[in-house]
Amino acid sequence: MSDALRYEWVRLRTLRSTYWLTGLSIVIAALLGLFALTFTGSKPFTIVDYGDLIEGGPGTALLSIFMGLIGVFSIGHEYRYGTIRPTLGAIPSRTHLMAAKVLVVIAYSLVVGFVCLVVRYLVAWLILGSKLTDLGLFPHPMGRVIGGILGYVAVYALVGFAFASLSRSIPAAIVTLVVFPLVFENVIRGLLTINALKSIRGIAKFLPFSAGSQVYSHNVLDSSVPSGFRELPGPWGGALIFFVFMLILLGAAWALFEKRDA
Amino acid sequence: MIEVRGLTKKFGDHKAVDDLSFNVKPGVVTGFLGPNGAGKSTTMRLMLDLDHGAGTTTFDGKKFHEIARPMSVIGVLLEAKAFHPTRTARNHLRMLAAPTHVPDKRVDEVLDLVGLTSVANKKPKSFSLGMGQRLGLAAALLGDPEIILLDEPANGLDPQGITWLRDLLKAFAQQGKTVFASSHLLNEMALLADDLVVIGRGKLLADMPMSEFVAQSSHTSVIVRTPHYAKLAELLTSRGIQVTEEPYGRLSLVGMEQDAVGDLAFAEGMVVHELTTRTATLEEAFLEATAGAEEFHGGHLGGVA
Repeated sequence: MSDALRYEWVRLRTLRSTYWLTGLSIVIAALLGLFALTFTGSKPFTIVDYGDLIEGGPGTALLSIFMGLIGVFSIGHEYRYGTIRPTLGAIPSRTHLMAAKVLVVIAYSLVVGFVCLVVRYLVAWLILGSKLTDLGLFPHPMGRVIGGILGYVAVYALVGFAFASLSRSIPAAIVTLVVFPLVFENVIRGLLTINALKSIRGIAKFLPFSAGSQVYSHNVLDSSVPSGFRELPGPWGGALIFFVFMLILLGAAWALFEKRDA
Repeated sequence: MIEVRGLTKKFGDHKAVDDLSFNVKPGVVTGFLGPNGAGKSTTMRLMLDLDHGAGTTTFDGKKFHEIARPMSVIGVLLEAKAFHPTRTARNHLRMLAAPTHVPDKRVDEVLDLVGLTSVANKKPKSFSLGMGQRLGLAAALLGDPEIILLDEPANGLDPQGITWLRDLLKAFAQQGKTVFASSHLLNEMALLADDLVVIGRGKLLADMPMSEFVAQSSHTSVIVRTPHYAKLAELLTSRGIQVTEEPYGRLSLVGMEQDAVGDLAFAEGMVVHELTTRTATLEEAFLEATAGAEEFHGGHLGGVA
């Protein structure tokens, strides 16, 4: 197993896109930290503002997509460039190779996610100083929000990995990874806003990406949001739905990987 | 030693590989021949557990997945240009070397061996097919294996490259190692291989030393020139030997060895002016052995006006 991990680690480090995606994630984290500038002066800084800052608006979604790409490339490149055969020639156990890839994707996305959170916090701290630190690190519900961001990003990266492993195609995996949460789920939610579909509106709770994102949400939706978009599970229920969704995809990907011809 | 037993692979109803069994001995180069689509690459993938099918393959007594660090036992080259276009040649090898704990020093050694030192830190996206093939060979040699398995290694190599490859593989075999290489370049194989495994439509057609394979071809014949050619022809035909008359009083015969023809002529008191064996080329022997076993046929060009 450690042999496969060594391979995976060198593979990740010798890939240019790893540096691009990591760099972009950190730069965007720093830029979004600059939102702290809107709270300078005598303006009060609340826990909700702290949540906005840490969640970083689109920051978590972008970070998820970048780490999703790390997941896609982890196995997508093997098929795109035909390295899967030499790789299995060096690591004959498909179980070990798959496990190593999954572990490295989890570890790497967690580390980058953590660094991005630290960068956002540091930038905000440089701007706000004691105004930020007076709230403490984890005022309720920020412990869940921060842990939720890390968990969401890692699960999202694994979903990307599973899409790429199932389709053995980088473009197909990327399109699914971006279109599913950003287009497909919103189209379904939009449809469910229609009154005729009121009776089945509840199924929107199970749309995996928006359900999963509840785990790092700190805002309460107001009534101006269309009804289809208000059907959301609680943070832990949502996390569970997203996690099970990933497990099903990853399980299918793993089983097929063992069974298919390389 | 590679032992292949009952390898079979079906795609739907089509048997791409059909109950193949053969041995690949150490100390010699074994060529793997077959027409396009005969199942050579599929056979190699089956041998390495990359494709799932029936049958077993053992390498020095062990199945591929039972070998903990296979790269140090078996070196494999299946496809040219199986690398990421922006990962440098050296990093590509370091990556493949990592699970086998092959040191970076060995990476530089094999790069030198295949002549890629000058482009070691270049991105291989601009590599020619021949350079890609060399990088693939470097990967196969990384773990200093006892067995190497190469699919079309001469593809894309220039004449100098082919000569270099031939010397490399022969030297490898002379060290008592096992070499199994497929190729459709028959002239190249004629110079390289000692033993042959020939398949057609997934079935074994021949598994023998090259000399035997060529000798059994009907294109291998004995040429005899004698003033008594009509009498000799009659005599041979009556013994079931296939005789063809050739110009200048020559006979070409299949089914009797040169010495036996000489003995017979002497016993019958015939003068013989010339007696020689014309050995079939590998190409002739191959085309004869695989006749009707091609997966793909080309047409002939008709009367071009």
